[in-house]
Amino acid sequence: MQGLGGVGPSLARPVLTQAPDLASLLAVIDDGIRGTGMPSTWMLPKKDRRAIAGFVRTLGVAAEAPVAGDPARGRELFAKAACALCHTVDGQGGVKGPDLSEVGNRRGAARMRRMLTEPGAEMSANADGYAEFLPVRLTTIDGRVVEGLRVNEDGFTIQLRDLENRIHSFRKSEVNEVAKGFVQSIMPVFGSMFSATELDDVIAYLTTLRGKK
Amino acid sequence: MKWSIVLLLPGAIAVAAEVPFERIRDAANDPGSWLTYSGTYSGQRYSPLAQINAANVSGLRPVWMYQLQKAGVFESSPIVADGVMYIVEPPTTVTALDLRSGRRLWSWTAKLPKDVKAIGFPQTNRGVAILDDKVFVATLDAHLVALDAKTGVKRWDVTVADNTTGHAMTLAPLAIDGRIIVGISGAEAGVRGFVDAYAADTGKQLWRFWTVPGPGEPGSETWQGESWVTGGGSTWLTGSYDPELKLLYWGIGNPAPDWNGDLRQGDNLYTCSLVALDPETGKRRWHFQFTPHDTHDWDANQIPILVDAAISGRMRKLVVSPNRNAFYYVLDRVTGEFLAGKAFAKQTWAKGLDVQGRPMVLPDTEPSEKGTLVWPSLQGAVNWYSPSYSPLTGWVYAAVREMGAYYYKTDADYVPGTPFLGGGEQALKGDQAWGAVRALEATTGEIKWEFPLHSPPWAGTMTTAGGLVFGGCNEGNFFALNQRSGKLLWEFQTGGPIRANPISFLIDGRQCVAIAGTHALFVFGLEGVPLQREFTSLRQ
Repeated sequence: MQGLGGVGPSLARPVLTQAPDLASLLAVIDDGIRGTGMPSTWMLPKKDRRAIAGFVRTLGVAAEAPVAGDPARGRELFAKAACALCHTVDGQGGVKGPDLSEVGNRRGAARMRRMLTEPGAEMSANADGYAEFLPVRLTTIDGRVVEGLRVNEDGFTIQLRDLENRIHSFRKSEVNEVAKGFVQSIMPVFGSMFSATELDDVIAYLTTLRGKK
Repeated sequence: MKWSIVLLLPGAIAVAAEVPFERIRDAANDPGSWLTYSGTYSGQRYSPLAQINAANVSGLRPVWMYQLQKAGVFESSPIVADGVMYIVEPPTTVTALDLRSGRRLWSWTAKLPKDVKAIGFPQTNRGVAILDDKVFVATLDAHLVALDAKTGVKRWDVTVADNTTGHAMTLAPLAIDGRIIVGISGAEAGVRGFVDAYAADTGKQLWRFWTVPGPGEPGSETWQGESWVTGGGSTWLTGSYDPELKLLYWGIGNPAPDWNGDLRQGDNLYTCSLVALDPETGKRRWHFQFTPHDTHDWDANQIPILVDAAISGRMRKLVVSPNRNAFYYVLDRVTGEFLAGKAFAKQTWAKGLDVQGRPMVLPDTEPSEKGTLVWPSLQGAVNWYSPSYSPLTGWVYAAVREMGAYYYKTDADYVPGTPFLGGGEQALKGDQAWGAVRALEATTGEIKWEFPLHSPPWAGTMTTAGGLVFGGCNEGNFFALNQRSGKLLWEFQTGGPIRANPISFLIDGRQCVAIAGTHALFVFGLEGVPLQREFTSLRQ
């Protein structure tokens, strides 16, 4: 266990974004982080939560664990592969996919690799566990087909964003079928277009994306 | 005119009994009011009002809203009597609202300690009870307080239990003839549960029923060693009452520690049980245990529904309940005899129920170090929010949670006033979980229809004589279904998750429906039926 990040970011860093000091780290461990996948651990005994905090603090003592790959080359590859058609970095880029400006704070290297090699295998989920950027093909009762990404849904309505970035809202009574593309991200499998070294370079670049100070 | 003379006239200060016991007992004849947590003592959450029906419910519109003065978890089920609605704003502020206008008449806020303990549940409150000229509230720091119904002035305040050891109260009290019945929260802190009765006029304690028997008492053989001392069995929701049989029905929660049962071998009576108590003495008449030796936190606190119905051609007095463990139960409420039971939601922990109603538990369903995936999740197939029953259909309407969870087991050390759990869970959620309103035939549990919900709900249902069932969901929709078909007839987006139970009542002869939303109470009525508002001015 090196704290290099799974679904969440690497914890092997001197200063954690959400928990720069011990008090805020204890608060994050106790209460989770609202609006993210970080859960509360109130169920654990207090001494265990303290022990977790102590362990996490040791992870940051050493210099940040290096990620193999060259971030500068990764940046070039990111541009060459036209990732910005769908992704924004520091205000520039497309919006079909998630904003990557702070992806280095949110995701570890292993998860980034998985997203590049098997984009649909582990879709990102919101705090309630609903898949984000979920592809949906919806057929209305008059036979119209609308494809897009799910924006929101309840038992009575669904909202989609199509690939031209238009919002569509339907009452479910107007809809015949809603086909949901779990494990079917619309992102191409870049992992197979890059060499192993190039993949490392892109991941190294993404890891540096920590938002503008 | 000398005001003092008027005020000193004998009789002018006589206490008026606005809501006497007899009026609550006969609440079914007073459908314009909503006099108990569930509407009547039967726990049916059924309104005999029929102005709003399948033909016109599509015209339901907001009448007024009341916004919480402070953010919190709002789960209050209102009481309505004599032109006033009583709600509890979280954590413990009782507010009286003018029923016509939604304007505040008074508020009373409990002085809670800064470090008030609510271990294992949100700092919320589910409502008041009313009796005679007082309303009664159970506070988060485990006091029972009586307030003057007209002004909110405090009449008495008694300490039910010590909050520093994790005892807390969130339930609406139950008011019966001259006495106030309450239960306690805190099984996640290892309290020993009880049901208490207090004199309505003075607050004097009348009796206590311990839900975990002490040494030598019947049931004590179901506890290992000293485990009974911290055995849990909290009583955190309102019970039901049969005034003819003179029996209280109270649901009892999980044993402690929740997920590690190693040091409490045995059935752990009367946890995860329903008990029938004599309201005069607190003596147990009978009990029925739904989940013996529970290790999944499947409290049995759900509101007991009292129903009279024919079984095999014979009229029976029944108590029925969709339980958190995913089985629906039909019991004889005179004797506690098990009559029928059936799963009403996905469950993977029992092969079924035997002829006595005891679950036939499957192997490898216990919490473990690496996690054991079991349906339902620890929040259960149902939870605290209310089911309802309609005499029109003979069906029970349950908001069902279809959700599994990985259950974990760890060591548990009892430290007073801290979590005493022995494990935890990681629930499946988002696209892996869902919910439904299901109609269950009351005497069998047979599913008649289901109305799917996007996620496992936290809102209860209410039935009406207009043939409707009202419900709410996490996505904010408040909705009305056809009782018989389950067809959606109306819905309104309230803008935040609903974690509360609907009620119905009259404003100036006009039927209204109310529900607590995330940060506001909503009242709905039919468009086109004008309210007879009275505009009076004292300054001519």
